Amino acid sequence: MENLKIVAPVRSKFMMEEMIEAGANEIYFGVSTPLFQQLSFDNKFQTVADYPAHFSDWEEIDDIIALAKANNLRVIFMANTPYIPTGFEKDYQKHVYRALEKGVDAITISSIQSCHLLNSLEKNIQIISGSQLAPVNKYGAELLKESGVKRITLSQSMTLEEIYELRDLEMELMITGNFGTGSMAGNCRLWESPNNLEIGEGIRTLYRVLSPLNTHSNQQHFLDSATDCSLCNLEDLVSAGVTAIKFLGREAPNPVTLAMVVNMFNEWREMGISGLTIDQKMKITEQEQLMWVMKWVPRFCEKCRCTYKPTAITKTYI
Amino acid sequence: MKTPVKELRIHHDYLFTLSDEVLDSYQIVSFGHSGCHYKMVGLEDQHIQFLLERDKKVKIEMPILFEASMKRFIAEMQRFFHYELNLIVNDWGTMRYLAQQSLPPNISLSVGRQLIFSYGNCPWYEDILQYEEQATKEQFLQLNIVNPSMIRFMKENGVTEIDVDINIYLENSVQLLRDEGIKVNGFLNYPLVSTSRSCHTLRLYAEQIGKCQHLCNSGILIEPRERWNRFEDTTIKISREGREKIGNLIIYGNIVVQDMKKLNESIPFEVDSLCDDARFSPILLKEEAIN
Repeated sequence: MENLKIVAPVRSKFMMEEMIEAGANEIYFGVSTPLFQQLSFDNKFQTVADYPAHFSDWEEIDDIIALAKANNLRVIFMANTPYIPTGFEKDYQKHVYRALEKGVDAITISSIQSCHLLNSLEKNIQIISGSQLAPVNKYGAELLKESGVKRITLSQSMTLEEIYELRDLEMELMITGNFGTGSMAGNCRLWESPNNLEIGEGIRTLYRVLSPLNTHSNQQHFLDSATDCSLCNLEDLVSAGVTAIKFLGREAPNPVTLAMVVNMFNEWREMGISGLTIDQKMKITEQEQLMWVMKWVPRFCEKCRCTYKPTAITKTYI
Repeated sequence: MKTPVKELRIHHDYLFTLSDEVLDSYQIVSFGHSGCHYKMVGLEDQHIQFLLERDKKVKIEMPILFEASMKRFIAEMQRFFHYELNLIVNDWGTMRYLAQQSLPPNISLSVGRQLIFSYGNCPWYEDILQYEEQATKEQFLQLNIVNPSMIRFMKENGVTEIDVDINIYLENSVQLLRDEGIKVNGFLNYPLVSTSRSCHTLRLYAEQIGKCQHLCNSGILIEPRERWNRFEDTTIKISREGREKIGNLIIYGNIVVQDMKKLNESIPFEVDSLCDDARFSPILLKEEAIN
């Protein structure tokens, strides 16, 4: 448990300070490019539901890197666009090179194309593969290793047993701690629109059924197979070889609330190091964290949104 | 769209129900599933032999294979490897595994639609790209694999063909791939938009996994009503205009397709073959597929 790293999103100095306070060991961010209005060289549109998801000024990055170094944090730069049109390949390389010059420690990519482009740029880049490129089997992970990837983000719908099968590959394994997509990340094209507040992630939209069905309700989140929480399985994940947990939310409307989520995981990690059981952890959290009672339990526990426990969602995994 | 070759992709259960008239309309027939290995239970030599005896080319689409099912699935499939077959893979790990097995020369590899996409595959791509410059839009509407490193990567792994949901913007991508010697098998209707490991149909009916194949023979048509907010866990209503922009979807098990049919004539360029997918569409095999 001591080696389990907490990887937190950052889009401003304020957000970074919150994440340091919450116990993050690593931070990640992206920088927008003036080449695009809403697209980017990472896997986030420049705004999501009207909130920015990036730094827009490279000068700010100097402060962020300095603050990270002062706090002993590793810095990850997001360059995880799922593909790069050939006309933008050189711009992509320049974008990443600029981040490397600023002193980032690792680059997250989400395509084999990006791996090849970065390997031709510099040999010693620490490459992390993002969730869009998450392997679903050992051969996929080996392929990424051969391509120069040092850490892989695992598919959210991979089971603990399957993760365990990857532990001998000598790669770092990272899971996503919060907010599942509900589909296999690289196999969903129902993206949230940055330009329209009515178009969210299609996979978690509420739908009405138009086919004749004998169901209790004709309005449901039919495509929602997301899993949202792995708190109760931190020890199991570490046993399976997981070394890092990444939190989503660069675009979070309230960085303070997101930092509380990061802090919750940090507290549970610390309690795990002290040898506390899940029941003990829950009892302490219930006494100390209002968010646990008000938000966490009703939203995740009562709705069975567990990523690594048998639920209606995980029991229907193919 | 001009194309000399037509392919029919069906569940193997339906093969022996096809009329000669329907079967005669296709030079290639393919089985399999891009997301579920349970749906392939019952695929036997007799299905393949039936087609080979009628001079059809045969393909088998392999699903995304998670670690837990991969070894057993591949072992099951190997009994077909003495036939002249094209195998369609839908995850890079499976492609890598097969490429390392020194496959016999009668087996060729395709990459499936789970791995081939562009922004044009999002039903509301026009909304997403609306403020980008025209030249940028056109580039992001090209396929994710149309670049030197991905073409080299696929060739190194023995890939000779791809499946792709065709749209009007793909002329450059298709041309470039064909120039590189990679064949393009186009799908015109009901484009694939999402795949989940957890089966949507199975969750809905709460049936036993593995004995559920009958549940997804027909699609479930759904209409968007409310947008979900990730951080607040709340929803807001989608207006009629928004609903029209998003469009309806159809669920087939763990596969979701866009409810959209295009006319052949709407695509002004050629592909190597054109596929009617009767698995994930309401296409009526006896009537529409032969047009």
